[in-house]
Amino acid sequence: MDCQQTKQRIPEWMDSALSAEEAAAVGQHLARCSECRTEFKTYAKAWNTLKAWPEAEPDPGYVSRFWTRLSLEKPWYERLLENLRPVVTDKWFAPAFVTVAMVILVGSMTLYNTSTVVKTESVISSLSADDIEFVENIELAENLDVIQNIDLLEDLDVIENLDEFNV
Amino acid sequence: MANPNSPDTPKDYSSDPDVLLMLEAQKGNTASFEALLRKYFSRIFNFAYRYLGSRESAEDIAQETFIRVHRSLASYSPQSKFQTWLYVIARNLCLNELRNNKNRAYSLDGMLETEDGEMPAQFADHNAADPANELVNKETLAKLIEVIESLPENQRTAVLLQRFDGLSYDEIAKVLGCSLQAVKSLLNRAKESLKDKLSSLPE
Repeated sequence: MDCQQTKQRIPEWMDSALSAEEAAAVGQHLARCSECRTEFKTYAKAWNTLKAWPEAEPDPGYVSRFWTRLSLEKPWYERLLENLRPVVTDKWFAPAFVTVAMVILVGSMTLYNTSTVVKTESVISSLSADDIEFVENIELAENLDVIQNIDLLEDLDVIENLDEFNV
Repeated sequence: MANPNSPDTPKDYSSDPDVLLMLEAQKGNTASFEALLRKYFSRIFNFAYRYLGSRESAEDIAQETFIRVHRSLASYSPQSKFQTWLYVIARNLCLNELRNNKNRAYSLDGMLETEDGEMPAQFADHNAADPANELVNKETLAKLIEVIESLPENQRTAVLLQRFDGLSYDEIAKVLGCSLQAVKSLLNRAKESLKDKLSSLPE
């Protein structure tokens, strides 16, 4: 291998990217050729200088920032489902859900009944004694009205058929 | 019978521990995904930082790279080593960033600044054996930045991936989407440029 071929192969030789045969040939040439050794040292110096570029540390908290960013990129309903998923898949969710539903149902009915009673009591408390008596006797009053109208109907019947009686 | 060495033969990447973590993450294992995030975030951040010269952009690129990975979880099927795929995403995002900010100045902003203001740009070289060489001076760093910035994009990517991230020629070829021979050629030209431009620096 001559100098030109060796110099062309030095970059790959540095990276061990040559075949074993080629690498051996480059190594043998470098061992006996000072000019090519100088060329190799120049390459190596430049390549090693790159490593002087220090590593930078990302700002701490990048993991939590990632999860926050990820969650913010999802639509609201996906975020809601994700938050609910661990709760819904819990083995206690079904019995707890039924219990809470029953409590809500019974509670709602109790509240409704209580409010109806309270409303009735407030109406009653706003009535005068006469109104209460009227309300209590409302059936009687209605019956009395019918009775009174019966008399009237009968009277009217008598009047209309008066001719028949005046024989 | 398929030739296992043929480039067209699908390779089995199930032995790659990172691929296994991805497959676990695909099943909903958040801890597996976070393990990958912790393992590679700093590397992707440094790749983007050296590529773009902006700390803020580098953080953004690293975050976005993992967002893309997470979005791909459902459809993930290993076609390469995990880190190769990761660098493909990061490099594409860096390219987009360059295209969107054509007039940006390569600055490595923040590197010379601290909360107390500007600091002398001297950095520890952890590879240096001689204590006298343990501090890389500002001149050397500025020259490195200038030289890397002057390289064509694909040469710059190849140099960063090979020198700092330790990717093989084969992996670099996959990241750049070119042949192995093209990678060798790119790196040879890049090293030639580096040799010419960095040889004047003091020992």
